[in-house]
Amino acid sequence: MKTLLKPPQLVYLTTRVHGLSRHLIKPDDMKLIRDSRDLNEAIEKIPKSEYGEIIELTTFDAAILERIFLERMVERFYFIVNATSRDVQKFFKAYSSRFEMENVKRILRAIHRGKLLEEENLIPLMKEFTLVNFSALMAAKDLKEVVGLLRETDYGHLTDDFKLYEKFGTTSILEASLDKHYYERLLEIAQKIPNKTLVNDIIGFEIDLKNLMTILSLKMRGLEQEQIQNRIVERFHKVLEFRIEALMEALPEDFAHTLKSSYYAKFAEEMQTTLGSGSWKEGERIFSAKLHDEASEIAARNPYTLGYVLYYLIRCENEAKDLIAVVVSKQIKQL
Amino acid sequence: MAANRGILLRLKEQLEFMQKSLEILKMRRDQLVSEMSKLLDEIKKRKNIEKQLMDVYSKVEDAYSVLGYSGMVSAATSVDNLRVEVNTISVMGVVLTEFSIEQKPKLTNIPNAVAYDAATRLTSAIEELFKISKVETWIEAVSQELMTTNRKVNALEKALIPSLISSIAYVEGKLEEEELEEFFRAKRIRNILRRTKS
Repeated sequence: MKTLLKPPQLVYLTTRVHGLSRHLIKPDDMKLIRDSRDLNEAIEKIPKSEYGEIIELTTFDAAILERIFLERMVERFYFIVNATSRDVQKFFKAYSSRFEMENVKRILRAIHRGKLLEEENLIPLMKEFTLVNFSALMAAKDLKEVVGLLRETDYGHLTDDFKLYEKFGTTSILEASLDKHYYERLLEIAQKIPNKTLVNDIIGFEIDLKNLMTILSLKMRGLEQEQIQNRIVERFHKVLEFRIEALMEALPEDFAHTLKSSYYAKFAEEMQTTLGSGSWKEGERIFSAKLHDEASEIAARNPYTLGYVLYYLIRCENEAKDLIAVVVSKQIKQL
Repeated sequence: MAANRGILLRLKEQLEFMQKSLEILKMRRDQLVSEMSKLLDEIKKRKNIEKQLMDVYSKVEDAYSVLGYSGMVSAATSVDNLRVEVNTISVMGVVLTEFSIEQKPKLTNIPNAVAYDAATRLTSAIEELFKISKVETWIEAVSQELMTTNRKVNALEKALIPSLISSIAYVEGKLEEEELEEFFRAKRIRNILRRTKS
C-alpha cells in the first residue's frame, strides 16, 4: 500500500517555508509602498524586521537600497539551500545559481565591449556558495581569458561555445548557452528529488515563458530565425516545438495568432496588445505575473511539496524586483 | 587737413571702395538674414524633440525600474560607445561647427527588451539632438555675424561714408578756392604786366 506520509525532511522544509512566507511583504502592503508620495515615505513602509539594514542608513540612495534588497533575496535563497540536504540541497543550490550566472553574464557583456564593471554592479553573493572568482574575471583583458578562468567551474561549457561567439561577435550566444546549461542541469537534478513533476512543471513554465519573451523581443528587433534559434532554450513544456518554430518564422504581429488555441493563448494575446502600445515594462510585468500565477496555482494545490518551496523562492525574487522598482522610480522622480 | 589733388583722389578712391564694401556688406546681411530664417524654421522642430526626449526619459525610467541600477549599468556595458565627428565648415565666411554621428552604438547585445526599447529610442533622440544642437550653434554664429555685419553697415552708412563725403566736399571747396585765387592772381599779374608794357 502506498504511504501518504512524506519524508520528515520535506515536512520540515515545507513547514519552515510556510512560516517564512509570512515574512514576505503582502500584496496590500506592497501596494501601500508603491503608492507612497516619495522615497522617504516608501522606505518608512518597508518592514524593518526583514530589511533592518535600512535603519543604519543616514541618507537614502536607491542604488544602496537595491543592494540591500538583493542581499536579502540571496540570503533567503541560501537559507533554503542550508535547510535542505543531499539531492534537494543540490537542486536548490543549482536553482540559486541563477544569480551567479547573471553575474557571469554581466562580466561577459562588459569585457566584450572592453568596459569596466565594478563589484557593486554584481548581485551580492555569499562566498561559500560560489566557486567563481569574480574579481579575477572582472580583471581579465578579454573574453578568451574569462572563458579560460571559468574552465574548471560549472561554466566550463563556454569553452565549446567560444567559437560560435567568435563567429557571430555577440555575447548573446554565450548568454543563451549559459541559460541552456542552467535549465538542463536543473531539470537533470530535479529527476532525483521528491515532487519532481511539480518542480518540472514550474521550471517548464519558466522556460516556456522565457522562450516566448525571447522570440517576441528578438522578432521585434528584426532578427532572423537562425539568430533567434541560437538564443532559445530547447526545452518545451506546454508549448509544442512546432509552435516555437512557427513563432520564429511568423511576423511579430502574428504572435498571438500563432499561439491561438495553445496553453499560452491568453498570455500571448495580452502580450501582443501591451507591446502593440509600446510598453515593454508592462510586458515584463505580465511575464512575471504569469509565472507567479502558474507557480501559485501549483503551490495552492500542493502546499506541502517542493513546488511550494519553489513558489516561495519565486515570490522572494518578485519581492526584491518590486522593491527595487519602487525605490528606483521614486528616486528618479525626485531628481 | 591738407587739401590737394592727390588727397582728393585718394579720398575719392576710399569713398568708392567704401560704397562698394557697403553694397557687398548689405548683400551679405541679406544672405545672412535669409540663412537665419531658414535656421529658425529648423529650430521649430525643437518642440517635437523635447517631446521625444520626455518619451525617452520615461522609457529609460521604465528600464531602470525593471532592471535596477546594477542591471542598467550591466545593460549599458553591453553597448559600445557612440562616435561623433566634429568638423568645421565655412558658410559665407562664418566658421560653423558641424557634428555628425560617425558610428552608431550597436544595440544588439542588450539583453533585456525594456532596456533595448529605451536604448533604441534614446539613440534616435540623440541623433535629433545633434541636428538641433547644430542648428542652435549655427544660429548663434550666424546671429553674431549678422550683428557684426549690421554694425559695419551702420558704421559705413552713418559715419564713415558721410564723413568721407564731407571731407571730399571740403577738399574740393578748398581746391576750388585755391583755383579761383590762382586765377585771380594770374589775372592780376597779367594786368600788371600789360600795364608795365604800355
